[in-house]
Amino acid sequence: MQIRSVEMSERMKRVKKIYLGLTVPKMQDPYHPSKYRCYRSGDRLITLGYLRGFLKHADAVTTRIRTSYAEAEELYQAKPRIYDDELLLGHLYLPEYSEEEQAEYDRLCESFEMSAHTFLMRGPRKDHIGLDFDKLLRVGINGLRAEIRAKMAELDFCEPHAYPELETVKQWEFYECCLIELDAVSDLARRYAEEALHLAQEKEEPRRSELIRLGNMLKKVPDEPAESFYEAVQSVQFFLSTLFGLYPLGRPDRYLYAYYQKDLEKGKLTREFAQELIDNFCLYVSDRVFSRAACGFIVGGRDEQGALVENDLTYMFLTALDHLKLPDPNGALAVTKQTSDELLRYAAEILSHGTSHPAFYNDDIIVDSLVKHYGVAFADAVNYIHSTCAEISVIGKSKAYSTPFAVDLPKELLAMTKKREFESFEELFSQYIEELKAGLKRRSQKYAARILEGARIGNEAMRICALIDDCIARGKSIYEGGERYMFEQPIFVGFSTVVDSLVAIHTLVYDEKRLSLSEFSRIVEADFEGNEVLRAWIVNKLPHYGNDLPVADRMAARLAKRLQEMFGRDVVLWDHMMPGTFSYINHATLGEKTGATFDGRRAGTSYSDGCGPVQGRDVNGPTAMVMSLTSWDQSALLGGMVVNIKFGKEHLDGRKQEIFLSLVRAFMERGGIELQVNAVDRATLEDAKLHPEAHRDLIVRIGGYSDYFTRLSPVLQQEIIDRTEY
Amino acid sequence: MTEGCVFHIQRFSTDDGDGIRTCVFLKGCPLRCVWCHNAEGLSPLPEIAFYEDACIGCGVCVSACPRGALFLRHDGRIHIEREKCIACGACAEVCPTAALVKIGQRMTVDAVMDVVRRDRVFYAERGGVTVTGGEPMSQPAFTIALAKAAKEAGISVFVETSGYGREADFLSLLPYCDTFLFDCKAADEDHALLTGVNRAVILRNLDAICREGGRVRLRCPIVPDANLSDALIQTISSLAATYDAIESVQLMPYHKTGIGKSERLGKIPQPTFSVPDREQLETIARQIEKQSDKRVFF
Repeated sequence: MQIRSVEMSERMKRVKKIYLGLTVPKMQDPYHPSKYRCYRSGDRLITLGYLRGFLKHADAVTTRIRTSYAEAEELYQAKPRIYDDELLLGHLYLPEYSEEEQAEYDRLCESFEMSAHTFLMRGPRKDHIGLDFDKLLRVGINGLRAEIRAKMAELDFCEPHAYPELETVKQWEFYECCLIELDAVSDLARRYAEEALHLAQEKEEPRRSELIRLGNMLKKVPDEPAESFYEAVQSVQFFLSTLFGLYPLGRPDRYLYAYYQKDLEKGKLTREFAQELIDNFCLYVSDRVFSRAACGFIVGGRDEQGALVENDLTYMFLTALDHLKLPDPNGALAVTKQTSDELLRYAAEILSHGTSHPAFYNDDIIVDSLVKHYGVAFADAVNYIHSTCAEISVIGKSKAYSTPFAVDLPKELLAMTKKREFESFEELFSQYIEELKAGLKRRSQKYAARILEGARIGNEAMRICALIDDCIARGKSIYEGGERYMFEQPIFVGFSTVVDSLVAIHTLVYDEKRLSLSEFSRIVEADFEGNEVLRAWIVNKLPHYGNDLPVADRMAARLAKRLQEMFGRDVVLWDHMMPGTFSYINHATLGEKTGATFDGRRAGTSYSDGCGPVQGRDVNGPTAMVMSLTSWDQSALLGGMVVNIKFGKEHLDGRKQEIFLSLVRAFMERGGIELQVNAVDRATLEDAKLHPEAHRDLIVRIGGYSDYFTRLSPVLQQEIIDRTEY
Repeated sequence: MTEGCVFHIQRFSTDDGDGIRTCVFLKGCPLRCVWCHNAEGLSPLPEIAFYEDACIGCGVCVSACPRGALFLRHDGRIHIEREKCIACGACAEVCPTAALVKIGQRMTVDAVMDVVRRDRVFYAERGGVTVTGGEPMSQPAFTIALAKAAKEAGISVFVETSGYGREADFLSLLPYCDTFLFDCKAADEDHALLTGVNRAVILRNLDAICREGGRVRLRCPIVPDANLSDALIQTISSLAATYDAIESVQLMPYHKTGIGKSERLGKIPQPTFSVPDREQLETIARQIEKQSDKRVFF
């Protein structure tokens, strides 16, 4: 492969500067003087255009249709924004309100809060969905429209309907919604084209020709099928740019490769220009991710026939990560046994430059598991993606509910042990599982009701369903079962904290009988005040998970098995549950609110992160940690199993790369699911905590997503520092 | 079953040989290098290390000690009377903060191999086990048995040695050792002064290993204020040039991680030296490379 870490072009450096300089709405700040500067519903930014649309279409026949009109109106009101030097057009519409508009916005938000907003909030988690860009490029929006119209024409209203369900009418309503929104996308593309051509008149060459080319291109895509690499990238970017929320870029080295190869062969494209387009494409993602979350792509892995995917674009998208050095896009590399050492070395090299991407996904295990545990066809399974952070879903064919609810494992254990004594550890353990199970049942019922509400009101942009099989074919949105596969991905937070806690209880209370459970519980409740010796003993002398010690590993395996078995038939949507221990930032936020735990953890400190060992308790090195963490079968836990290893940079470049390679390969061979590598030293992090101003660019991976270290809360910062460094 | 006195088993070692390795540190060394950074490897007998910073003065060790070697001072600190201590480890066992640690455990070859085998999946083609110390050849029977067991299990074996031992032992080890990490610590005239032993024995052993088909990587501590001289560079270069069996030369820049170890064992502190900088090492490496035509790295 000739593609090597070439320097980012000067032009893209300028584009990066422009994009990063754009005003991006931050999370809603309750203390912000203007409450409604940035009004959000989940990750959906409610814009003035949206509100106006909602108001304007008060007479829409159903709420779903009204919501779609609001979606559409937002696009109709969006003003095309074209910046110097950019090679791709289309930007998420971000509000820049005049004083009057702000006043109008505030007023509308207030009334909205009383009515419509509340139902938007009630719906389930939006986005986190990989769309079928392959289809978009193949048929264009016109093709989608034609397909929808054909299905509408087929609707048979003469069939006897089961009143009041009126299935056919629901299908008609769904198609209507899609068309309303798709038309608005096409309209915006047309206006972008006009704007580009108009702007071209004002500009000098060569920018003039560039804008004319772009203008003409947007007259064609995304409406029509793409015919060149440039058109393909522009088409995907444009479609994505109309959507709020987190919609990953999918597998670009698969859906773009045919265009790339054809253009390259014909001499219509140079590698340098292709790299610029890719950089621009990725830069645009970092521009639109305005929440503290991730939006990613995945490269490598295999194609539908099971053949290895490893082409120029695989390398070039990795190169883009190196060029950008930004938290987003959250790049991933799917690693199979056949993945070349060369590609892994290249990934290591990029990581050694201080970026936290790419993460490594175990392609063999994930695909097998999707097929075996989740009934996914092989051809679909190889097309999986980390929806955003680390949760697995199938591109263009699934709806994955990322973190519908988080199960706070340590808190449940604390609550239960406070109540009463248990005759034996077995009794305690069974009771613990029962308590968790009861909570799970309650939460699943609530969440299912949210999905129901989502189906009624259509709280997601309906047009995305056109790029998810089999929504059009079935005439159903992704909340009604239009999608081919549905995964609910609840997460268990504080897994290792509880494993270590259970080991401590087992050893001290039931095995050595040093103290009773109620005594232990009281000591823990008092944050080990006056019992430092006991705490020290637990921390230093008891086995901890993550050290390749059978006692702790067996406890982990036992707990994990029972957790997976909990999804019995009394849990709503039990057959769609895809749990994980991926904990986003919940391990820090929940830990902050929880008292001390039996493993010697102090009150208010972070829980263990993801499935990783309790911070600082893994003392036998990364190989022992990996052995522990892969000591039990976790293949079914595709809701996120993140193993973080923070490396000194020296491990990733030059002579030491073979070590990194052995580690990655061994991790995969052991059945680990996802490995994330940070190439920073502890001193750097500690310094960054003290002098944030000097380390604004330091990126670390948290629970499957990346963020600027200096942007994290002090608790989370400390937690990152405490993750054992090798 | 052969037993050895092991003071540490370090998994994921990345500096002592190729790939990911598990290092087995054997206790006891006949040399007394002034820059030694493994003070706990010197004595062949178990010892008690005391990490004073970790001690919370709870005093449980005092009553656990069968010899009355520990007591709690007025200031709340623990004091060890080293002359009474027999390093039985009773204190370390009860110490809640692991401030007291027993250095040196009797282990069988099987027990060590159990740990070594754990990381098999990480060794790939090049990784494996490295027997080091102390001086592994001060426990020759154990070292040979361990190397043999690893070899039979299909695991690569490196042995790190000062070269100071019996020739017969080196030759018995040879069939089971893939690479000797063989030290070249000082030029002839400084050797006895800096390491406490004469170099002649070492050179004889190196010659025997090379003659009998062993593979050698020369490892050379670089301690600017102590052993570094033109004569040292000359010595390394000529050794590397003389033997085809020497595949490469690894410079081992002095580092300060050994500071505090002696005090923890109740011994007088080691002297400290300055750390060579990268530039200096590059220069030395280039010099040796030029004169010996062997790969030099650090």
